[in-house]
Amino acid sequence: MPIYTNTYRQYDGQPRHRFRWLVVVEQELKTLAKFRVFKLLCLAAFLHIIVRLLQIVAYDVLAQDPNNPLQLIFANLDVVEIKASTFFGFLYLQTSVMFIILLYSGAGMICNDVRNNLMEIYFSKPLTWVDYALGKIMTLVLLGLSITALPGVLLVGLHNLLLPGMETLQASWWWPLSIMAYSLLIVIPAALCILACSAQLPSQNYATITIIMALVADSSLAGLLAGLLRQRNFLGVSFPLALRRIGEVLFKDTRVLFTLSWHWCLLFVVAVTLFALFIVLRKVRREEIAQ
Amino acid sequence: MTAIIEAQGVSKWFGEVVAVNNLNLSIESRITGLLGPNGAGKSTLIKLALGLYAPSRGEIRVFGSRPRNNNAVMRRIGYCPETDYFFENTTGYEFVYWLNRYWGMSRRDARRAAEAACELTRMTERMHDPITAYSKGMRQRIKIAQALASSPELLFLDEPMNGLDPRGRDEMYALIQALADAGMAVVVSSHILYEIERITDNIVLMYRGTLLAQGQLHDIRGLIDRHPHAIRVESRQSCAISKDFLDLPDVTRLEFEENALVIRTREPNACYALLNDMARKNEGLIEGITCSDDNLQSVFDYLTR
Repeated sequence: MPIYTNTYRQYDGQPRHRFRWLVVVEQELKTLAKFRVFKLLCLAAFLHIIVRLLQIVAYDVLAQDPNNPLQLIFANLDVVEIKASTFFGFLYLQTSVMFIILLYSGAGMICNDVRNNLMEIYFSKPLTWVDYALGKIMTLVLLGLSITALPGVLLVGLHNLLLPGMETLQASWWWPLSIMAYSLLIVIPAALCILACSAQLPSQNYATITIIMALVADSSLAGLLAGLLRQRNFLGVSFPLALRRIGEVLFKDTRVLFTLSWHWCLLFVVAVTLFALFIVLRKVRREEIAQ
Repeated sequence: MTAIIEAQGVSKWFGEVVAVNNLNLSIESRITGLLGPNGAGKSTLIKLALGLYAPSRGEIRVFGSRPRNNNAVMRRIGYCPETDYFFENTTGYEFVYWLNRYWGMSRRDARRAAEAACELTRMTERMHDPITAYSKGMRQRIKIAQALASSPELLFLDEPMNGLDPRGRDEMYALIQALADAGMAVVVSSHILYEIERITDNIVLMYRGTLLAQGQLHDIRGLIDRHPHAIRVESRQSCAISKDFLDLPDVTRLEFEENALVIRTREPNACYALLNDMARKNEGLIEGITCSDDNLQSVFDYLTR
């Protein structure tokens, strides 16, 4: 049919005003779900969850059953025991996968939009810069929490289901809170730092390289300072180790790497997070004004 | 008729670069052609009207309101930008769908509107192909589809004919006419006079950020007609041809180039008639005729002289 025989129709629906950032999240997640690499990374994160699930089953079912022939083996294995540090260990290992997933998903999130001149189309729609920035940040935060906090809390729930009783509940009631707090502490700074790099650099590859190099440099500096000054507390300069220090406190882990007060570590993490947030918001705001 | 777009003393500068300078403008007609050479400030004016830029000085109103951060106005406007680099990882349909969602449509409405817009721009068959596989013309169409999908009352098309083949251009002219007939106000920017002439008589001429002229095309043509037109005749016998033009009273100047003659005249129709006669009588004498005044730059040269 020739186009000029079509008629122009007014949109008669009602536009939605609230939570526009959710559309940004939905779009980003659906776009990411198309990529095989992304699916493989999610699978890798899922495999670790399966291993922990098996550990819980082994401890809660097999190790507690005196009639089971495997009971003796599992009951005497320290690594199988379910305690607060089990979940700290789970999150600590999951951090690497989470970071890779966020890096893959977020390194191009803002720079690709800028490079492809999408900002002027986005902001010609009734979409505010806050919706846009919040949408991008929440995409990464939700993605990160879905492979850290969510499985962590579910595993605690499973542990309580398989080993019901007041004793388990008394021992584990605070674990979900610690899991949530630690997950937020590892996910939010990672998400914001990745987006800050994406906002400041011209391409996804540059952003990826920059964030990895920054991490390597930071960790090397911490190692150098600690070695040269023979003071282990300088390890707190390393961002991942600062996070670990807070995690040790949150999960009451006794295997302490260094004794620097967790307050300093938290201050360091919060400062980096706020700085990254400032960079992201400033860039998006500037794009909105300039466009 | 009330003004759709009204600019009063609008200026926009970026650092030391003045993109739009003290512009006073009122657009009322259904289709308006925004004409000007590259760097004239057309795109800046469109972005000011869209609310993407805030004026550095002055005020711009669209539908009687300031467009900047004004969702109510933004919802009534569709925008087809000049650039055509979009999402790298989506199909044309998804591109339109997500922008509909950003506009505020529900999932179902966004789907329907995206399909309708793709149909309107003849992209239905290829709408599920990735954008990276599209030709320039198809990208142009999908860009227009996203602008149309929310059924705006005012549509800005920034250089919409770029990359379209002749058939695509004809269809685009027809589409713009159909949209205007259906009640939509369309502002089309271009640096090619011929393109604008095909779709509207109402033009706004911009040059170096200032408003050069506004009104009906024939009025502006009248301004131009006071100045001599230049007709370039390609021929190996330019000296022989020139003799006949010496007798025409409105010919002001004859210039010889290699295998070409440039005639400057205040009465181009008489020259064209004579050239037609010559071509009819002596086949092969004239190899080509170009009127440099069809080139927009010449128009601007006349008006800025």
